[in-house]
Amino acid sequence: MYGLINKAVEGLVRSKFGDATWDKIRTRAGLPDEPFISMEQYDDKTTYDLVGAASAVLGAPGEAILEEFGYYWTKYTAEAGYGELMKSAGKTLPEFLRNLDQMHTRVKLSFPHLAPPSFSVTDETTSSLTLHYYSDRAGLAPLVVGLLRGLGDRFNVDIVTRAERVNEGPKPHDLFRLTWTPRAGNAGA
Amino acid sequence: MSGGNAKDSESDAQLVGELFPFSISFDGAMRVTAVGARWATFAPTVRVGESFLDHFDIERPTEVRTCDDIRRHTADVFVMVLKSRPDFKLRGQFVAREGTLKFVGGPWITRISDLPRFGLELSDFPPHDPRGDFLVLLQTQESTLADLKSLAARLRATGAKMEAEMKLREQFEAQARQSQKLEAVARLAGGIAHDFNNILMAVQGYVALSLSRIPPGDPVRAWVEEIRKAGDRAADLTRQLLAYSRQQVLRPSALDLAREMREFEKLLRSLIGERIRLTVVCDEGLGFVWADGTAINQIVMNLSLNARDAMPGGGELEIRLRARSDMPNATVDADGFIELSVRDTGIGMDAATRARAFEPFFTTKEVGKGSGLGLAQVYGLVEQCHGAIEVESEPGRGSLFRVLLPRIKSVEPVAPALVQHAAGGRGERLLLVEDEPLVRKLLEQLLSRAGYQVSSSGDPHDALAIAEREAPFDAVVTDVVMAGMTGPEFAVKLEELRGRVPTIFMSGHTEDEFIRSGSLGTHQRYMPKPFSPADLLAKVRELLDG
Repeated sequence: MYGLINKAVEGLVRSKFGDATWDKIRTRAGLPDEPFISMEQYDDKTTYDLVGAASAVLGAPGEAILEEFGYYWTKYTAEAGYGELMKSAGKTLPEFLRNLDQMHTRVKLSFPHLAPPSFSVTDETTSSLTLHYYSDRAGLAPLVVGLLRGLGDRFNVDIVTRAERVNEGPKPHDLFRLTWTPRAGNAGA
Repeated sequence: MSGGNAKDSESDAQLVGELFPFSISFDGAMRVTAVGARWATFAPTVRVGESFLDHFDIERPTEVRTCDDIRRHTADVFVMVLKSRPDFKLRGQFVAREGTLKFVGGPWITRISDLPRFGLELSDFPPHDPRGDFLVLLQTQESTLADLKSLAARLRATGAKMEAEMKLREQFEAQARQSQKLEAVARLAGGIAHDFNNILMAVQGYVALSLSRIPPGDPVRAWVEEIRKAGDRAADLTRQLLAYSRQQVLRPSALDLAREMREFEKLLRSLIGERIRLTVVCDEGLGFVWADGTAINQIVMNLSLNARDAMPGGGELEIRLRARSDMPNATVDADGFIELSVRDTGIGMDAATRARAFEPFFTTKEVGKGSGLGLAQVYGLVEQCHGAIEVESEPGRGSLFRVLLPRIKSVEPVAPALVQHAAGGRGERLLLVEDEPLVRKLLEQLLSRAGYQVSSSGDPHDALAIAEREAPFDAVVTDVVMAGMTGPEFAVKLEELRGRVPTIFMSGHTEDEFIRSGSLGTHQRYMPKPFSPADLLAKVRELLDG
């Protein structure tokens, strides 16, 4: 994974739990005390080790850490200079979700070794849809739950998510059945 | 033109307008004939029928104004400025087609963060337009640059930290080297002083015996007096050497430094002379240090005399006492520290002189003006008091010596004053143990002549045998440093054999901690060599009289 992801993990820990906790987690993950470079490629193990260490140090299950990270990621990327890119993906939640692959294709130009997940939308209504999530990396579905929470904030809607694992068919994947309602003050999603 | 063709043409124009949302077409009169889809919301005045030149300036290529000019440059990149918004530029090329010229291009923006400023979004660049990707790429590059800047700043900070640590380490190493050097010199000085004291002891003793036999008025008496004075000066030097080598016997007690300074101030004033203005400042409630008053006076005197010599034309000397919470390399458990500082406005020292200031025999004074032992003695005494000394000095800016002494937590009772006793024996039996034949012979004669019965030996084991064999002795006079058994060890064995015996320990080189720490028994005394015959006789008498 690119350093940008690990930087975001670091940002999450530092902002929520402080520098000392980050040092503990970093040390436990066996990483040196040096900053991540956004554009540098790191072994996926680095990120998994960080999540594992965070889980041990914070005493929270790995799934909870991933979900929290997903939530943080939507805000972090916007602040890390990719806000316009996210804006270009859509002005509403369904539009954004439909354009996720398109956005990743654009990002891949800057991060040529990026192996992004793939998303597709089905069963769309005015207040619900099914999001299909395909990834070569195992166990990251909780991260998507966090991402959806973050997008709820972005588009000012309350989202209810029901996750399922689809093992049948040509390509096993995770799917998320979403229903949303606009928050107060939001004319529509 | 058929209706179908007109429809196709209109459809093509619409397609171009969608694919290139910022496109503009105009005819030979430079009247706008079609505009891209985004103009309607971005700049509605740019519309069909308007004059192209009313809305745009062509910045590049230069000197291009007419349709013919444009046609000649269709292979070139054009940069155009929107007149109603001069900070907004378009970049693209012109395509000539059937009497019309069509601008195909888009906003010239190089930072993704500039988009909101122009009311634009990344989606204003259609997927086929590489400028959208280009902006994302540039943003990534910018983020990477920010990462590298942060990394460089961190490296700089780490470098500065390492540099500071290395500097500190070098200072510690230099300090350690200096301490080792001073330690080695101190050991050498101590060894020399020990042997020298034994010789001096004999010289001074025989001089005293000679003087007792030479009648007043005899010219030889004056010569012997001169020998005595030379011996006294030599004894003084060895005392300073011993102080430097931290082997001077101290009698520490709970000392009120402020009181000590106030009492010493008067003597100090007379020593430094009238051309130097002396100020003594003592903070209140400083508490006590565990130190030898004489040693403290020696420290202050030596520092003050050095200051005086550094101000031959007069100046200011300030002695200050204040509390301090820390001391570098402190090795004792102390209730804070007391700083005794001596500051002068004299000639000061350069770095080379500062580095050697505490070395024995190092002096910047003229030959014969200084022994080079003053500061060395101060150093030794301060170390012996478990203190530390710091020096600050620059040529022409005076010097500041700071002596730091550990403050004690409680005050011990003060030792009772000594009582003077009349010297001379009344036939009491003394056991003398001294391995230096020259000194042993002198003391034997001295004590016998004073009225004591003396048994002597150069070997402590042999002396124990004598003690076992003969009747109990009234007192013992023993050297401290002897081969095979030290004086204190001998005293312990003797007391195991014969019970408590008044004992005098003599030494020119006190290595035994129990003597240096001042923990002698009430029936024991210590005499640093060299001493005068009268001093020894007085001490023996005092001990016997209890």
